[in-house]
Amino acid sequence: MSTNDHDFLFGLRESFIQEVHDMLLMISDILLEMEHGDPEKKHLEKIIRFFHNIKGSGSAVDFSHLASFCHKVEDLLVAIRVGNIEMNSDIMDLLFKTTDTLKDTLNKLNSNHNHTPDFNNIESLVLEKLQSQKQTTTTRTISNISNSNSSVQPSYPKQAIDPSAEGVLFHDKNIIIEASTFSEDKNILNICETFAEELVFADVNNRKSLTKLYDPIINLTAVTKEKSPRLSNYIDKLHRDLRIFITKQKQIDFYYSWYKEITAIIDLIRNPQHQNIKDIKDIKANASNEIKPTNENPNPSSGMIEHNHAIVFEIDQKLLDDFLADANEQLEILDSNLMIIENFPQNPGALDAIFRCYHTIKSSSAILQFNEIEKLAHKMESLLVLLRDLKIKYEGEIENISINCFKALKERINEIRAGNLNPSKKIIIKFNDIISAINRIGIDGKDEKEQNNSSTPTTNTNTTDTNTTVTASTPIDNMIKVNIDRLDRLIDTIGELVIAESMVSQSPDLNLISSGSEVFKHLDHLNKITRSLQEIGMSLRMVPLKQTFKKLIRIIRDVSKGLHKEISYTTFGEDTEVDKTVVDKINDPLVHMVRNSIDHGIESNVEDRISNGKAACGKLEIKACHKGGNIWIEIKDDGRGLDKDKILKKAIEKNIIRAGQNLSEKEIFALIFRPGFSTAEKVTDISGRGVGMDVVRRNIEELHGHIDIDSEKGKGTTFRIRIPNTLAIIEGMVIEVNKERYIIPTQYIERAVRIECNQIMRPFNGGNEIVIMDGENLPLFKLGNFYNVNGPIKNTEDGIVLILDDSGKKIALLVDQILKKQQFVIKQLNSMVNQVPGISGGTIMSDGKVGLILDAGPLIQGFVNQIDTYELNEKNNRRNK
Amino acid sequence: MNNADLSNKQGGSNNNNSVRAQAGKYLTFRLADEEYGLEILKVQEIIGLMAVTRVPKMPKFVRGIINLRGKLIPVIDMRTKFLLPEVEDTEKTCVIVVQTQTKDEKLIMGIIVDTVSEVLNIVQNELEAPPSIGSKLDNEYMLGIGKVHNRVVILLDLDNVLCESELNIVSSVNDNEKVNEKNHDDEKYYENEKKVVNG
Repeated sequence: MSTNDHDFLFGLRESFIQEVHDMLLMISDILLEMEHGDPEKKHLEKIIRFFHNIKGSGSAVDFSHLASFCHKVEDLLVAIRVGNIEMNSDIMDLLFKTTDTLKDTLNKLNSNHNHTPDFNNIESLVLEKLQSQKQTTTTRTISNISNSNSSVQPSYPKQAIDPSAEGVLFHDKNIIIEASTFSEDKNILNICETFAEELVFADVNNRKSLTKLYDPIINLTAVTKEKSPRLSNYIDKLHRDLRIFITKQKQIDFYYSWYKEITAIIDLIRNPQHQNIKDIKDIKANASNEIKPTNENPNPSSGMIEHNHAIVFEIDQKLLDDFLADANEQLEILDSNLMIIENFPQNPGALDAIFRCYHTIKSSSAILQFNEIEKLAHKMESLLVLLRDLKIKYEGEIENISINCFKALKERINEIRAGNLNPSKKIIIKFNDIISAINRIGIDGKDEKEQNNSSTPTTNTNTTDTNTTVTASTPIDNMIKVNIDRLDRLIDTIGELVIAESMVSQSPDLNLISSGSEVFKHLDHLNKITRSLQEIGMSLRMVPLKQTFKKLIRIIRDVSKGLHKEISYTTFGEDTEVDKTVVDKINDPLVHMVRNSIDHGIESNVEDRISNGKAACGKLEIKACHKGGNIWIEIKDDGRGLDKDKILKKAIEKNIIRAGQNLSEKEIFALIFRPGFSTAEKVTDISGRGVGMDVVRRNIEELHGHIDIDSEKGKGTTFRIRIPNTLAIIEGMVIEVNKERYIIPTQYIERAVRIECNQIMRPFNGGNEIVIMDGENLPLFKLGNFYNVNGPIKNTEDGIVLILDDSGKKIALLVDQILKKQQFVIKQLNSMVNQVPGISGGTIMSDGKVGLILDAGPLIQGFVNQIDTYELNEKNNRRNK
Repeated sequence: MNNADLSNKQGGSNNNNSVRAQAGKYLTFRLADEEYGLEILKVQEIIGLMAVTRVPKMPKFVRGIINLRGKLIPVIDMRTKFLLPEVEDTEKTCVIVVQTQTKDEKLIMGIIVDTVSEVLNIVQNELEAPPSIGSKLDNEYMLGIGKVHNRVVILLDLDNVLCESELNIVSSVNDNEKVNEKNHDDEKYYENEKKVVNG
């Protein structure tokens, strides 16, 4: 049982981490959008919903640290929405930092679920902001008190401000004591909880949606009546205030001050011990503040209309896909747990699981504004609360409701999947039936009746609302999340199939069959199928570069801000699809390159740019495209360009090259990739240590890619990266050394030649042979000797020499013969055998045997380093003389 | 599990007479004249010997790599590993694919044995501690000895036999012997060359 629970929690956490990861990505997207002159409230609301969602599901899976942190952030965001904190770049930075911290935490949690995240730093920053807000509100409200005292009596009904309630609320500690008794009552807490949630999702601009708040506030009034009539009265007054706001077209500020009050009360009930008298005073101050807006003319002003217009919520396709995938998962969990609970009604684990499911469904549907689902799930939750508290039993009527609810929900989800974003009439009727059935069950008859009356019509209005606001969307793809191991196994198996197929279709035994036979037709067919299967297999691992680009944009933003440079950027081809492993690995080098472009490329002095005839704002272009089985990524800046003379000078200074060496332009530019090379005078936190470009080169080499630089002094620099589409496949030349076959990636092979006797130079002491090729002296590397192959060819003239080139360093590799050029699927070698020098992996050859892939890069570098070419040159010169 | 293994191992080295083997099913195989047993749960499958690709610069007992349905796994020649005389492969020579557990990862590899015999159920009172002397093999390699009817089966501790540190030790020994002989020669050449040039 306990292990079961543990497994269950583990699974939940896994999906939670995945979910939050996606959400964080979306949050950063929205933040970026907001920063780019689109600071609309609707963005903020979206972010608040995301954080709220993280908080909710976080506490459901027992990540309480995360949840409480998100709660604080939510507070901050709400304060921004209410207008207590002004949105500025400081806050923006803080929010970005928050997402970063959360991302880090998620990564850590991913590897270790018991990791205790440390939010202290960032949390204190958030609290600091919140604190400053509190102070400003108090000071502001104090001035408001005096204002309101002198002002004319409000048109607002006088009895609403019950003097006795006010007295208790704001002068007495009694209220705190009373409130503390509430926190022991689960029922009240629950109502507060759901109320708080509704508040978060309440949309000020959509007044109809605010009517949803009536239910909980009536509830709250009812339940508090017994123990604290004064508080209850006060809440009742707030209830009336809300109605006034909704019906009388009050200014938006009215809502916000109301909002502050109600949240303060909810907080007070939820955790009275955390509350102090100062906060209560705050409430009082706000309360008097809140009188003020009522003085204003209720006629809507021009600004009013602006606030009033309903937000058209565009459904993001990805969000929808995620929602559907998630909903499916939840429905499955629901299904299994409903079965359990049917048989064992007392099983608390199953009940909790159902609870969590509905909660998750509720919050995710709220994000997409599937209000009817949200409503239903919410109702179901209140029913489950009764079940959990053992107030009712899971039998008869309740069982029916629960099953019906599940069925209806499933039907609705299917509807959405089919592309029907708006619920059909049938569904609405079903939903309403269930909701009223649940209401009938409720223990507190009177209360629930009231709810019943108001909730059913609300659902209707909401659903019609959705009808108008949701824009039509294209049919939705069915998504399925698959474990990457299974995917790899599938691809492995497909690879095997391809080999098996080729072995059959190329079998010499086929010659025995007459050529007119049906077999050949079938074989052809088989061949086609295997090929398309192989293509599908490869495409499964492809993901668009979009996320990588988004990260880059984020980097551009951070770095340009840090350096006080103004940068405008354009991206192109973010839908280019790349193998997942490539995407993971290409991130680092791209980040380094972008940082370099901004730091070194773009001039720090705006005048320099203008005098060069360029716009003051630096330009950065990031492009990606497919070309000939490769992906090309281009990063282009319009900065000062590379300074050849400076690079040469530095390189000589650092002993990377010798003075007087003749280097082509490309070779000079390539120098910047050398480790330790930097032309920067000063080391900054962004660049200058000469590490970045080395990392770039290494990472790209790891991807079997190639990097190219184009630069013109004063005009700018372009980095062009070419990377094979997938890491899983390389193009290689099969070579043979006495029956042993090795594969050399073609990217390293410059050419293959048979050499003449007079091109070989044998050192007098029997040392390494040297091949003279077009005036170049290349050390000869005998693969057979290096790998101890039995009986390789003895004479260099008998074999074939491959000229291998790795970023300028060349060697001649002697092999017996070249067999063919082909594409190979790279396979990881077992850790036991992956330490062999010069071998990077294995592959399966067309005959099903294993072939080893030579890691030519390190092989060349290592070999060349052993023989100093300089000395060879010297020797060569001496000999020639 | 791991801790238990470790403490057992320490116990084993301090006191050679401890039995680490547990009663249960063992897959037995033959190597030269001896019969050995593997815990059945470590065995993934048994396959016939297929084309093995040699991996250069590996200790001699690593015969090479095979393609096991799309996965590349190394195969170990148990005869070489146990310093038994080499023989030609026969029809009965086969590969037992086993899963071993090292400190931080699970490895799948194949071991080449002369012939696979049977699955043997060994009960507790048929188990004996490995002898402290008179055995070619280190006691670390043995879980114990099973005496079933009149047969004696050496129960192997595969994790220890195939663990990586073991491989490294052996590979360095072999390095010194002959595998990398040529390479060392090459290096000497370069050194000579430099000396000559510098001189």
